[in-house]
Amino acid sequence: MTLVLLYFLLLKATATSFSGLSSLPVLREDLVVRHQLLTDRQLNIAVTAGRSGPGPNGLYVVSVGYLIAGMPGACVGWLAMVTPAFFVVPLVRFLGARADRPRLRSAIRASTAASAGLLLAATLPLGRGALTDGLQITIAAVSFAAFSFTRIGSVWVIAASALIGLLSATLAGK
Amino acid sequence: MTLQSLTLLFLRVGNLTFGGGDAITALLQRELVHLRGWLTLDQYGLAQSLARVTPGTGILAFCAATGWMLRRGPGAVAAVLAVSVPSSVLAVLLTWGFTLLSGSALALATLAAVLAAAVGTMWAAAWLLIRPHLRRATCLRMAVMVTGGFVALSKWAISPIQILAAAALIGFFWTSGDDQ
Repeated sequence: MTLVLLYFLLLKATATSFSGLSSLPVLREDLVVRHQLLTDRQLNIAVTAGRSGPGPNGLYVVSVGYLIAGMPGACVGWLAMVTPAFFVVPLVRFLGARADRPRLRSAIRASTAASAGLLLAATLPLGRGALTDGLQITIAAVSFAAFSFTRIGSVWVIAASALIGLLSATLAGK
Repeated sequence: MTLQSLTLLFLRVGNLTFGGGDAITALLQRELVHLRGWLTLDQYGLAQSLARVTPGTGILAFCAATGWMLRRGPGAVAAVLAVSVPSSVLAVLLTWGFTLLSGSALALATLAAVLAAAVGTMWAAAWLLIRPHLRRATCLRMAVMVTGGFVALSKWAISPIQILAAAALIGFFWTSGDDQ
């Protein structure tokens, strides 16, 4: 896997999605299923690392690049993450007045809704590896509620999950 | 407003804010429109709308759009670099740390809990995409698209790119009152 090919695979995922984590299904299909450069567990680590710090949700692409090819891979991941952002400049210049056209807006909304379905489908294999007992299912459910219905910072949810996991393992005598 | 002051603002807000793009956008609105007056509310709204129709990470497109409005090309590049580089370095360090810790039983249990939280994060990301449409006339179209996307990938293993393209095509022809 060359860095150029890795860049284009990551760019394919980022440039065909409309929010940070909605690139996940495309990325998983290419890197986990088709090319087997990454395991589901590593992908989970990348998502967790990307969400544990401040900044954009799409940072997990940088983590994915790092897990596949070290620091050069991280640089490639960063480049693939930021490249689509500049597509907005010609939009601002030339297409700003057309963004409210009903058919264009409708196409975008339909695509965004489909990406939500894809995201849910992508959690099935990830969940099979990550949700193996009652505690983990509870943590996932509480995290879902915290992210969806409160304004609690993601770092607190992830830190609390880590603490619960650590306490649980300590109490179980691991 | 200089390129340096623009860079410092995006550097501070983009790398000290947890909660992803929506949280960063909200803080930037306060700084750019209400506190500093660098952008009008209409300019901010245009940047936000176009960032949503731009592929990729929305907050980075938002930064490129507002950076371009304020300082043209250099402003767009500076805003995107300021928001993405430090947080990317931190993401690499966190990835390295999580991978390194995967050897011990205690660390494995901790990591398993964190990974479970990551699955909850993805459920929430999907929910946050769905939620704005629940009370709109687009509700039925949204339900069809979400279900179709889920089934097409999980049951029939159709390529996500093809699914998204098909959804956009269907949406182009299936408009509703809320799209006006």
